Amino acid sequence: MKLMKTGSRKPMVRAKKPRGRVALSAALSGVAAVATLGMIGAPVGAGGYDTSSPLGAAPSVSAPLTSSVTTPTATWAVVLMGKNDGFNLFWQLFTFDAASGHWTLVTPPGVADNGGLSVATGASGGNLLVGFETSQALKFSPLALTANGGIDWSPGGLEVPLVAVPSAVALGSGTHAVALASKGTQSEIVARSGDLTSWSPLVTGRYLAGVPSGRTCGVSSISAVTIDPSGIVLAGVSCRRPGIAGVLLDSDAPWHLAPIPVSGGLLDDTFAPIRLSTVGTTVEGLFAAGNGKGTNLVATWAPDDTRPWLVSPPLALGATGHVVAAGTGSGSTQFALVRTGASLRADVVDGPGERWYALPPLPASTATVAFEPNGQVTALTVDDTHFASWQLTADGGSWAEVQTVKVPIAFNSSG
Amino acid sequence: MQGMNSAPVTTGNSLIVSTFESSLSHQLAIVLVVLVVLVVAWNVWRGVQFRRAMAERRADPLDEARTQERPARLPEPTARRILRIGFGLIWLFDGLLQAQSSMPVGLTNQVIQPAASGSPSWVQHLVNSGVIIWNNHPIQAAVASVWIQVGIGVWLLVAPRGRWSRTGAMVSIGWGLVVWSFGEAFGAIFAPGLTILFGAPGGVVFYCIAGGLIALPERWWSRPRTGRSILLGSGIFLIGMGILQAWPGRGFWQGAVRGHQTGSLVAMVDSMSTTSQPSFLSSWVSSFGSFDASHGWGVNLFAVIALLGIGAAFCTGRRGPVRIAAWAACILCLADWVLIEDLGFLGGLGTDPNSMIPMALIFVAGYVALVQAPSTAEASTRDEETREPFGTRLRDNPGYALRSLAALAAAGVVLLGAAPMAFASTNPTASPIVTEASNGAPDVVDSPAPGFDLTDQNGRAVHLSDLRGKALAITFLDPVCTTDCPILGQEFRLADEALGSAASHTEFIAIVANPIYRSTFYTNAFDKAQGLNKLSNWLYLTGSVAELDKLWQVYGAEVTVSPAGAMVNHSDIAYVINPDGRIRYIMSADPGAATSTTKSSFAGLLDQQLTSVISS
Repeated sequence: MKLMKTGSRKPMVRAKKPRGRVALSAALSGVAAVATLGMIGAPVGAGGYDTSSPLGAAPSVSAPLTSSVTTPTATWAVVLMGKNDGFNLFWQLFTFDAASGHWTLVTPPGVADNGGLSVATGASGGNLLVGFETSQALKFSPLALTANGGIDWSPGGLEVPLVAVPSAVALGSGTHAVALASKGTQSEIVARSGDLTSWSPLVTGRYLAGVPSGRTCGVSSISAVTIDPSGIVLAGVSCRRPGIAGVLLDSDAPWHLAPIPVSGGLLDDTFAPIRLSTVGTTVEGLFAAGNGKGTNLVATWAPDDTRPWLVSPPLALGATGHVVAAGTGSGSTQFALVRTGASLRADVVDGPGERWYALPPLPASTATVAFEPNGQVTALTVDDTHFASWQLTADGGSWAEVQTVKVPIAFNSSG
Repeated sequence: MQGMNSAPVTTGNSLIVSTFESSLSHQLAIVLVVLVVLVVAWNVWRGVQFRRAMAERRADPLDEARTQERPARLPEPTARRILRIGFGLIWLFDGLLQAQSSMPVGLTNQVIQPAASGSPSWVQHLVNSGVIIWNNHPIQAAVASVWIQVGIGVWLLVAPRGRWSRTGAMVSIGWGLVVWSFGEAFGAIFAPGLTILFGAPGGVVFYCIAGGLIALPERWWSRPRTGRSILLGSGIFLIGMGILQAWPGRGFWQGAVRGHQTGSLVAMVDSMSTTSQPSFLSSWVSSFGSFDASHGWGVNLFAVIALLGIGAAFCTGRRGPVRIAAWAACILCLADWVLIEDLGFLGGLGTDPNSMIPMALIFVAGYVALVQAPSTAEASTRDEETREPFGTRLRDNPGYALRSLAALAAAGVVLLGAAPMAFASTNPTASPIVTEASNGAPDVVDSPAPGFDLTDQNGRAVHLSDLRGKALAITFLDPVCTTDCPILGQEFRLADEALGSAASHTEFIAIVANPIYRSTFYTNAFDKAQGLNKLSNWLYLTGSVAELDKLWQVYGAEVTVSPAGAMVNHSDIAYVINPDGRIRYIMSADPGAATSTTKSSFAGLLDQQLTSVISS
């Protein structure tokens, strides 16, 4: 099965090469290294990076698993529910069906999900790939795939654990899928090569750190993965060199940095991806940018592969703010829930060229917000086994509960 | 998972307690039988001796006169006797304390490990190595502790002099060092908060010191220098402890601060007062605690002055000050023993009366040795006595012969405890009783095993009938389980590795217990994660949902899919099937606490049953 569309695309780089090509690869790498050295000191500009700036530390960011994503026909939300004692917190998957107008619990059965869920939508709104993060004695990651909005699930799996990030799995068209796997201290992107239990190595973090663009960026880890509408795999990486929002893609040229423009005060910040996903025809990403004094959030979009990437204005989190949920809404909307001390706020940016704005104060116990396919924003609250959705009142200043779901959590089932 | 979260084995577990008591009773019967045999042998031997003596007297009438003229032996030095009898009784008492029913399970996790918790990691590592051996063989270890200590106590009591007595003393030193290191974490001398008031440096240190003094040649007790040396050592020890007690910042100079924070002494006394004990004793202890809370500074000042003063008096070596200091020391030791150490042995898991009584005995022995030092002439007489050949003494001194026999019997009692434990400690597999105590004994049955036609992890078809001629261990495992199943897999692997040559006659089988994640991908992933792929006699079988469901029902696996992110629920159960295809044992496979002991114990129990069906 071809993983790429035919045409002018070059074959994907494999992690392992036949011995006879090692010398050739070394020579080419040497040429690339010389070329890279020659570019050091080149002015920062469109398509270029200031490689003279020293490598810093990638910002310490935890990408939250709590999220929601919106497709033209459905919205999916991942929230954590239960009691915080022992192993009694379970991740739940809900879906909002535009036709029915209701939220439904559709957590894939058969595996304990105390470790977390990573989800990715497909081209069709009813498609969703779910990855189970490992927990306790489970040392590899089962997967589950639905094509009918969570009514039925097909089992799959990786022989290794998934990296515990929200964008650890990605769906393309047809059977195209990739996952971000953890192999010891390294991460690796693997691509589906048969049924949902057959996966082949695509590229490792170590390899990406060694390619010219990877060295330019100072790749420290792969933190997100997605597949764009044309089937190109994009890797969101943490960069140790400031001023670079790291998305590497293997398209016209082998693994090169996406031209994400960074300017102004963010040039001194190092970037780490929080999430990366493809919604419709647009690749959307959310990055944390920091310089030790404070953290900013930056949303990015690649409308399609012919137009340049676009970035939002930075959203300042301050010294103590941290993201507890993030996701995408209808159209090009992205959001982040930011907790600063005891306060929680939801910040939204509706697309390229727009500014961030805050939603009205959220209901107590809000886990995340979600956008219905028609654009209506919903706050999702969780309390032990109770899930509720809230919508803004007519005046837009407060929230009213519209639906509750009692979740039959099997407490103490995980030890 | 059914059977999950089963409570760990408690100190009052009926199986453990009954087995422990039964083992003690059986061994007591052995001891009594041996004693009876020895008594009979003694009487026979005495009878032979008497007839021989009568024959010799008729042959040589003067021999009786010469026998009657032999001078009486010098008595045992009083100081030595104080130590020997005092510590003999203490060892005997400690041995009887070890016979408390809670010892097999409670001693390690409620006494030994908490005692080591404040010590450096190397101490905890050492203590844990002993804890593992005890936990793996709780009955043998608890019984061994009883007989070794009872044996040492009896040995010291019945063998007053000579080689037997000194050998007994040496054995007490050896066992004392074992207890001090593995059982008391070196008396917590490496942990913060060290104080003589709480028992530092560990009561058993004084047992070892006493053993060393008893093991000295008797002529040493004829010299005042011995008494002075004991007192000098005691004095230096007390002065050191006094300085430590006076050290600021250790919490002993305060009672209760503003009624909230408590000093170290008050905290210890308060905790001791809650121990299960007679109410009058508890009220004394808590009253002292209240007194110290109000007068903590004064109490500690008194303790410091007492320790320094008594220590200094001991160091002088002069009779007058030493006499006063010895009395004061005994009174203070008694007070500390009651009011702070709370007698040391109450609560169901007390192993000894703590340090004050043994320490007081050392002080008294030192004082007596100082004031009752005999003459030089007596010292040389003692030297001559010890040179008398052993055989001559046996023949000519019936009392000595009797005591030698008694000492031999006591040594046998020590061996009765030590030998089985030493042998058990070389067995890395824990005793099956640990599993039986938490999961119950396996059910013994005899019924045909329901057949199956499934697929192994390599995609090969496997039928139960193909496995005739081998003993089978079968369980049900969910390949994507997060808790019990990986542990069960490890236990099966341990059982296989411990079977040795019998493994070639055995097959270990798991059947998938998940209707969704059941393909060979998951069985292989599970095997790889648990190291089961390296076993040549391991099968992880799967099949269609219908095939599996039928097996789950007939084998009682009770597999159910739970919603909302829970894992599949199923019974933790294992079957042992004999080579003729008949189920012979059904056992609960709940891994419980999943410690190295419980895993090893389950593996041992499984091996026991597999071996029995192979050999039957």
